[in-house]
Amino acid sequence: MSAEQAVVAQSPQAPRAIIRKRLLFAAAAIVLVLAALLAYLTPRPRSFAIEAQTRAVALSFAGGEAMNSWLLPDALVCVRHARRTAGEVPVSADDAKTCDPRLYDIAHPVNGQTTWRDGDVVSLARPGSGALEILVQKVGAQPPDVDGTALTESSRIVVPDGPSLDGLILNFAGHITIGDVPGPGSRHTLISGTYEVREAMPTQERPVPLLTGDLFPGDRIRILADGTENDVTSYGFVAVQSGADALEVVAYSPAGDSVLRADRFGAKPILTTPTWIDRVVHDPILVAITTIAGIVGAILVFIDVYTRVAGRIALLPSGPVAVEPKAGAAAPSSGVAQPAASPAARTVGGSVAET
Amino acid sequence: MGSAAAAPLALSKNAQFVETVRDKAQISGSPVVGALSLGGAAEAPSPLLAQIPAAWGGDDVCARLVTSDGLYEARGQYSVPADWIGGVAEFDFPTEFSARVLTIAPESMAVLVSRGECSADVSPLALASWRSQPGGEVVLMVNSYRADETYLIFPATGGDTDCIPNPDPQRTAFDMICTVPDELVAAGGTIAIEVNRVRGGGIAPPDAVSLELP
Repeated sequence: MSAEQAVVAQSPQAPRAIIRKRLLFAAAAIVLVLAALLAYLTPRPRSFAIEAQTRAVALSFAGGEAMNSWLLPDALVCVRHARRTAGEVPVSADDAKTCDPRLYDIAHPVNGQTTWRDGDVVSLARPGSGALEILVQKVGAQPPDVDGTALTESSRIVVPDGPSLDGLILNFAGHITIGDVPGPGSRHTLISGTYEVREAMPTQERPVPLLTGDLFPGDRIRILADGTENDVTSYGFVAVQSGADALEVVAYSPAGDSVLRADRFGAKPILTTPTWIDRVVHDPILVAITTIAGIVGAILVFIDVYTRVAGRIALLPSGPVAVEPKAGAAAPSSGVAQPAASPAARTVGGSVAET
Repeated sequence: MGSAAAAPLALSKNAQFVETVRDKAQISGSPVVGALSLGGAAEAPSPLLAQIPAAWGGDDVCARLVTSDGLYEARGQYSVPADWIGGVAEFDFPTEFSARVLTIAPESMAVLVSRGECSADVSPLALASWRSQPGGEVVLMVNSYRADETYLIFPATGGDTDCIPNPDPQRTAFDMICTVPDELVAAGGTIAIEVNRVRGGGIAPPDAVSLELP
């Protein structure tokens, strides 16, 4: 049997093998796609970074004293005493304008060295006066102090607007609430800001930015553990500048299962967290692999199409086709040398096959 | 406190039950917007109950309601029967927004029930209940205008109590919740209350209200 005959003999088996290969390839591709989908559907630890300009920020400290020590030069410390008791320290008229002596004992610390401990809660605000006002909302088991003067709940620390505020940085580790939902009498609104969400990818541990966006003026912003009302510990600082009417806040949360929550006036709370589409679109390695696979696939498709087209072109007759003469009729003379064809043979694409 | 069976209280003649659902909140100037008893889930047909003293018999009472987000408000004037012996009254509540209103949680609806017509002063107050049984914790819902600190003083005893922020993020109509001590409520009668606010290191003039219990 000739080689051509062998090819013809194997031809019924060849499509099955090709189909089997293609099915295997398709199954592998589907498994790969499903695995990738599952990987990108599964949330991974993410971190939030926030930069905001706000009239006020509330901090609940949780990260140790070293992370929450401040220096507040020229501060006026108003220590809240019990209601209906007279102040123990005589108060000047100027100080009395800042803190009512019926409620506060007033002190002028020399250095303004302040240490906040876990469980202390304060709010920082820049009201219209331009002064930095710190209100102690809650004290932990061991009260915080300014130069040794213990602070009670509802105590105030006021740093007047001036050079002592220039470049003042107040670092923190704890739970942060930026701004307040507007309401009657509200002065603690968020002015503007941006956020960014970073998440480790299935293809790499290095977090990549998945989402960025603007913080809407008037929103109250918190970073919560996903599915809970519990704040996660964030790190950052509050930057203060004299003459400004806002605080600059930078906060970032460590990688974890967290969401950004925005409480908006007249709206339901808005939770921001990346979706699998964000992960797929922003994974640089996946994008690179997809791009390369796309190019390779395009090349393979081109080769396949080219081979098929070339094969079909090859099947076309390249010369005059020997027409089987009718019985009794003489073969036409074309002037071109024709192979000696038997009645049972014909010219096909320049090759001869027995039929 | 309270009675086993609530007596129905109808709207006054020629008085309308006025409801407003807004897209934006509108805030009143009164600091106290609710005086409620937060008990267990109520089984009464009406969501609005109040403990009306016997002395109010023959008078009108005004019920003012506002949600924490300030988007729903209602007001109705009711007639107390002349032979009222004091106890829990079940207010006729012909709301047109049942699906929305009758699901509002007890702590999210501030209710003021005051003696006299709705055009009169908002005092003295009766203790109301929204979708809950009378006899629970007694609270005042206060719009402090975002004061740094809000507290109640009870002149009769000289005692005071701190208010806590309303946990609802949409705290438009009231931002503070103040608890009245149980011993004062148990004593019954009239409770005089001073609402004090501290803002920016200064004390705002106090607001006085009186709560009358059966």
